[in-house]
Amino acid sequence: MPGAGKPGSGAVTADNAAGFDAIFDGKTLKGWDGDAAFWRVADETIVGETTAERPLKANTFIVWRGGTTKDFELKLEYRISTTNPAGNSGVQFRSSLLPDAGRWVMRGYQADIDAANTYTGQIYEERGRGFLARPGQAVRVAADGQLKLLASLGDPAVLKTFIRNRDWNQIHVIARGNIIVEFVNGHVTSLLVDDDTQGRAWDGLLGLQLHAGPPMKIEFRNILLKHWDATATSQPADWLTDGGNPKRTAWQQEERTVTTRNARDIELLWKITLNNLPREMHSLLPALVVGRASTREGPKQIVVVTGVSDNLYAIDAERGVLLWTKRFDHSSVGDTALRGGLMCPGGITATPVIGPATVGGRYTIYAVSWDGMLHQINVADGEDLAPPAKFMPPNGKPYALNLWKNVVYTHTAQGCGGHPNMAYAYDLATTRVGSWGPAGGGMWGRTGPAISSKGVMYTGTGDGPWDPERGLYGNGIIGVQQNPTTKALELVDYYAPSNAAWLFKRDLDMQVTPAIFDHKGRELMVAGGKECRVYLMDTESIGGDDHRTPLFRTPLLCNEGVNFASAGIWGAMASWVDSSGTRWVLAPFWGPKHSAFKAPGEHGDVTSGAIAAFKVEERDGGLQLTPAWISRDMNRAEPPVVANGVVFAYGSGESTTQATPELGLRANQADYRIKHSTHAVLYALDGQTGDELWSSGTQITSWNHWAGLSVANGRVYLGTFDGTLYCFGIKQ
Amino acid sequence: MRAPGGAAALACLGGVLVGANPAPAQDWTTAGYDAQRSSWVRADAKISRDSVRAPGFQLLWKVKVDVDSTQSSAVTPPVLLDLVIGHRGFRALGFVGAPSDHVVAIDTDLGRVEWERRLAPGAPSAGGSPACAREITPDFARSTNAAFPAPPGGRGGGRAGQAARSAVGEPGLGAVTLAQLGTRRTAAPSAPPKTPGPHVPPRPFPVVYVLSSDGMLHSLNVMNGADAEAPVPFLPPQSSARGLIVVDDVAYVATVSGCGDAPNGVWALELGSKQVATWRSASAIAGSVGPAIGPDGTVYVTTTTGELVALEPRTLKPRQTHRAGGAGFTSSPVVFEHAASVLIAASARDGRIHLLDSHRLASSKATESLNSASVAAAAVASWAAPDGTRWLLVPRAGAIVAWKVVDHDGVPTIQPGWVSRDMITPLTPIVISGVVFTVSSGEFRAQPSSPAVLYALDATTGKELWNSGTAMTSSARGGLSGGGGQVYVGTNDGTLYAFGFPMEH
Repeated sequence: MPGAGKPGSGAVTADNAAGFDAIFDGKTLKGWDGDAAFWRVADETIVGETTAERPLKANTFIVWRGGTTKDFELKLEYRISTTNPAGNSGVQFRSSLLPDAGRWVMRGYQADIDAANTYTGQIYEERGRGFLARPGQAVRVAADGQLKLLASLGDPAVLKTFIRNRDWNQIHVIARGNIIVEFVNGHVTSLLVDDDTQGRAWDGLLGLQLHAGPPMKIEFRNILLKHWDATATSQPADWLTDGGNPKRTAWQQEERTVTTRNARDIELLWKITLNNLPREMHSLLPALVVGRASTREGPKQIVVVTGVSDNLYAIDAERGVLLWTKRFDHSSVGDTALRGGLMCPGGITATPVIGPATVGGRYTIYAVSWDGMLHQINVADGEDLAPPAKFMPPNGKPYALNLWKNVVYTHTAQGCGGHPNMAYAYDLATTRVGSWGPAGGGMWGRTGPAISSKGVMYTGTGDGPWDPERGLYGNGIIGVQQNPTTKALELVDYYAPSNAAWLFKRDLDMQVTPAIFDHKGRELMVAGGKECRVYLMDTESIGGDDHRTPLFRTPLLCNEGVNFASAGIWGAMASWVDSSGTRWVLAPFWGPKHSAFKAPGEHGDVTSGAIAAFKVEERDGGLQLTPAWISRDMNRAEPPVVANGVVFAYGSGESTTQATPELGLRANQADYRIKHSTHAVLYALDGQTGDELWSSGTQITSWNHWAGLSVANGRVYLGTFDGTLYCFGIKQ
Repeated sequence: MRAPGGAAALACLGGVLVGANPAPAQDWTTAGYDAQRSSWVRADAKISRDSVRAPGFQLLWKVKVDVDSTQSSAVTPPVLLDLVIGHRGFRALGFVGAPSDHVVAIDTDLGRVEWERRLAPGAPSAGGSPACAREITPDFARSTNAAFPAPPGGRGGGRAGQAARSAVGEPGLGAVTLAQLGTRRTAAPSAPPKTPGPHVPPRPFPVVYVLSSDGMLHSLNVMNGADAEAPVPFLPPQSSARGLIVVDDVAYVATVSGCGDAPNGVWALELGSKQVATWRSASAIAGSVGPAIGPDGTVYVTTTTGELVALEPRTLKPRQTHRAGGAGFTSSPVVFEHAASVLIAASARDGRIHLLDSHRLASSKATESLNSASVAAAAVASWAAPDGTRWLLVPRAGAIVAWKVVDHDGVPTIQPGWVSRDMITPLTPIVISGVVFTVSSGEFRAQPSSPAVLYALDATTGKELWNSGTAMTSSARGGLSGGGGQVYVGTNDGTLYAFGFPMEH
C-alpha cells in the first residue's frame, strides 16, 4: 500500500494505476543505469546512499534506459532520511546526459525532493535554468526565458504539512507538451507552463538523483510510468515533403505511436494497388501525408501518392481507400514513347510538396507534371487551386520538390529531354523562375534539394569536372539562393572533396540529398556520395576558405571495389536527436561494407547494403562523426526515416546492375533489371543500437526504384513497382 | 552516374563504343602506340615539359607479375584502355603479357590486378633455342584504325562541361531553359562509323586481342579476361611474334627468329572470316614492333637483308619493295606524315636511317644519314613539334639520337638534332606531349646487368628533365608505353612500374 493517503488523496489504487507500466521490477536494477557504488536494490526499493566513507563530490543519477519521457504521467514513492537535514534528491524527466561532466550526470527538469521539505514539490531544472516553479507556484516561463508567476497554488507552509517525514510520500508528475504539473501525496504543489523555446525540452530521459554533500539516503519504489497517447487528442503529424522537412532530415519529430517497445507489433495495416503504369523502372514516388485535412466529409488523414505516368492519388490513411485521382494532361509533350532509357523515363519524376495548412485547414499540393507545368491542387478534393503555370521544359527529370517561404525548389539531372541539368526556384508570388546551372552530370539527390535556415538550397552536383574558376562544379556540393530582388538563383557556396578528380575519373558522384540540422548553436549539414564517405559541414561555409575542407570526412564505409554502380551511398541522408540530446546521422549504402570500417554495434555480414549510424561528437575542439552501429544486411539499403527512436529502413530489392561482363552496359536496361529484381523488405531498427525490431519479411511482394519511405501517426508507407502502396504500422 | 546528353554521353556509352569500334588513338593499343608505330602520344592532360620538370612526377606503383618460366621473367609494356565501364566500375586498364602464356589486366590507377589467366595451360613448353623460349611472351593489341591519330587539340577533352550561370525567367513564362527550348535544334543522330571488309559483329563489351604460344589469337573480354569467342588459329605453335596489331578488323603480326615451325614473315587474320594470309620472307623480319601500317592500310615490313616491303592490306600481296642494299635493316619501319607525303623511316645495321616516300617506294632513293651506331636500333619513334618540325628518335648503344626531317630542294632529308645523355642500351623512346621518355635498359654492358632507369627528356633539346633514379631494381627489355598521365616500364624480373603524378584517391 503506497503511502498512507485516504481514498481520493492521491494514493495509488488499482483504478488510478491503470495504463501505467512499472518501470522498476522491485528486485533488480534491470533497465537502470547508475553507479553501483551508490545505488542498490533492497526491500523492493531503489536505494541511493552516500556515507562518510564513500561520499559524493558531485550529484549522481541512476538513469532509466527503458525509454524516454515525452508526454507522460509518472507516479512513484520516495522516502528520504532526515539524518542529514540537507539531504536532497529528485526525479529527473525530459532530461539529458552530460557525458563531459561524468557518466551519470544529468541535465533537465527535476521534481525536487529534500529532507527539510523546503524544495519538495517544486519543479527545478538541474544544471540548467534552476528554480522554475517553487512549491505553491504556477509559473510561466516566457519565450525570452523570464519567469512569470501565474497563480498561487497554496501556501508553501501548508503544502509542507502534507509531506510525511521519514516516511513514504508519493510524487505524481504529468507532462503534456509545454505544461508540467506536479503533485505530492495528491496535492498540486507546482505547475509550469514552459514557453521558453530555447530552454525547454519536449522529451528526454528519466532518472533519480543522489545529491553530493554529507551522508544521505534516498529510497524509491512503485515507480509507474504511463505514456500519453498523443494521437488521441493532439494534431496528427504531417509528412508534407520528401525527406520529411525542408532540411531533409527524414526525421518525424511528431511521432508518438510507434516506439522501440512496440515496434515488434507493427503489422500490415492495408495495401492498395493503383492504376499507375510504370515507365522504365519508375512507378510510385514517395507518399506524402496530411494528418488532418478538412474535407467535405470532415477531417481526414490523407496520403498523397504520385505515379510516374502523370498521376496523383489521394488515399484515406485510416481505411486505405482511394479518395480521388488526378491525371495531368500531357498531350503537349508529344512523343511519350520510352526513348530516354532507364534514367530518363519521362512522366512525372518529382515527388510533389504540400504547403502547410492555410486558413480553413486547406493544404495545397505543388506538383510538376510531365510537361513541366507547376500545378497547385487541393489535398481535400484534387481540384486545381490555380491554373497550371509554366515552370521548366517538358520531359525533363526534376527531383523531389521542396518548399521554403513561398518558393518551390527542385533540380534536374541526367540531361533528360536533352535539357541542361539545372537548379530551379519557382517564386509563387511573382511567378518568376530562377535557375542556376548546368552543374556536373546533374543534381540527383533522391529527395531533391535540402534547404537551410537561411534559405540556401544545397545539392550534390553529380558527375562532372570540378573547376570553379571555369564555372564547373561537378562532383561537389553547391549552395544556391534566391536573390530576393531579381528572383534569380545565385551561387553562394560550394565544396568539393579534395579527391574530386578521382571521383570524376571513377564516376563516384557526390549525388545524395544532404541533411541539414542544428547542433549546439551551429547549423550543420551531412552529405555523401558513391565513393561511400560521409561529409560533415557547417552551412556557414561548407568547404572552408578553400572550398575543399569540410568539418569532418569519414573513412570509406563501403565500395572497396571502387564501383560506380551497386555500391556507395545512394539517395539521401538522415539525422535525428535522441532523448539524451545526442545528434545522430544515418547513411544508407549499397554493397559490401568496407573491410576497414568498424562500428561498436554491428549486426552481421553486410554484402548487399546497410544503414550506417554515426553520432556527432566533439573531439579535439572539432566535430566528428563517430561510428555507432551498422545495421543488418539489406538488399540495397534505401534512405531511412526516423520516428520516435525507431529507424525505418528498407532494402529495395531492385537490381542495380548497370553492367555485366557478358552484356556490358546493355545490362542497364529496364527489362534486364526488372527481371533480376526481387522484393523490398522494410525494417524497423532501434535507433540507439541498430538492433532489428521488426521486418516485413515477405509481405511486400514487389521491389521498387525511385521510391521512398514516409512516416506519420504510427504508419509507414512504401510504394512498389507493381503500383501497390503498402501501409505498415501499429493497429490502433 | 553518367547519363545521356552532353558530356555525360561519352562515358555512359563508352563501354559499347570501345567494344564495337576502333579505339581512339589516344590509347596505347599496340607496340609502338599506333598503327604507324610512331610511339608518339599526341596530347596528355598532365604530362608536359614543365610538369615533368617540376616536383611531382614519381613512381606511383609497381606490380610483380607471377612468372612461371625459367627462361625469362620479362613483362611486356602494357597495352592501355583509358576507360571501360565494366561490371566492377569505371576502369583504366593495362594489359600485360608475361612468359608462359600469362596475361594480366591491371587497374592502372591503383596498381591492382583486375584479372589474370593462363592462356594455354596445356601448351608444351617453348622449343627451339633459348632465345625462342625467352621471346615467346603473349603479345597484346586492341583494335585501332589505320588513320593517323589526330594532332594535339584536334580531339579529346570532350568532358570539359559547360560553365554554370544564374538566370531568371520572365513572370509566368517559366525558366529560361523553357524559353530557350524553341531555339534549340535537335541534333541529328550521328552515322555509325564505317569499317571496311567483313564486319565483326559488335559486342556489348570491349575486347583485347592476345596471341598465345600455341599460335591462337584470343579475343578477351577486357572486364574479366574471359574468351569473347573461341580462340582462332593464327600462327604455328611456338612462333615468336612481333607487333600484334588489329586494324580495321584484321590482325597483323610478324614472326621472327624462326621459332617453332613458323617461317619468318607477316601474317594477317581477318577477324570476321577467320581467314589467314601469309607473306613469307626469304630473310628474317627486322625490328621489335613488327609491321607498320600506312594510313591507307598498306602494311610495311623490313627485313634483315635490307628490304622494305609494302604489302596489300588483308591479302598481304606485295605491292612494292625497296631494296636498300648493304647492311640490312634492324628496326621496324615507322610511318609518318611530312608535308603532303607519307614517309617511312627505318634504321639499318650500319647505323644509317633510311627515309622513303611511301608512294615511290620501289623507285625512290632512300635518304640516308649516319647514326654512328654501334648497336642497332630495333624501332624508331617519330613525332612532330607544334611548329611542324618532324623528329625521328633512334636509340643507339649509349644514347638516344634525335634527327629532324628537313626538305632540301623538295626532297626530305634528315639532319642531326640532339644526342641525349649517356645511357646503357636505351630502349626505343616514346614521346608524350613534347616529352621523350626513354629507358636506360641496363642490359648487356654491365655484368651483371644494372637496374633500368627511366629518363624524361625535352623532346626538342634532349635536355634531361627528370629520371627515376633507383626506383627500378631490375634491367628492362620490353620497352615502354604510356598515356593518361602515366608511363609504364616492364622489367626483366617480372615487375611492371608505373610513373606519373599522384592523384588523391
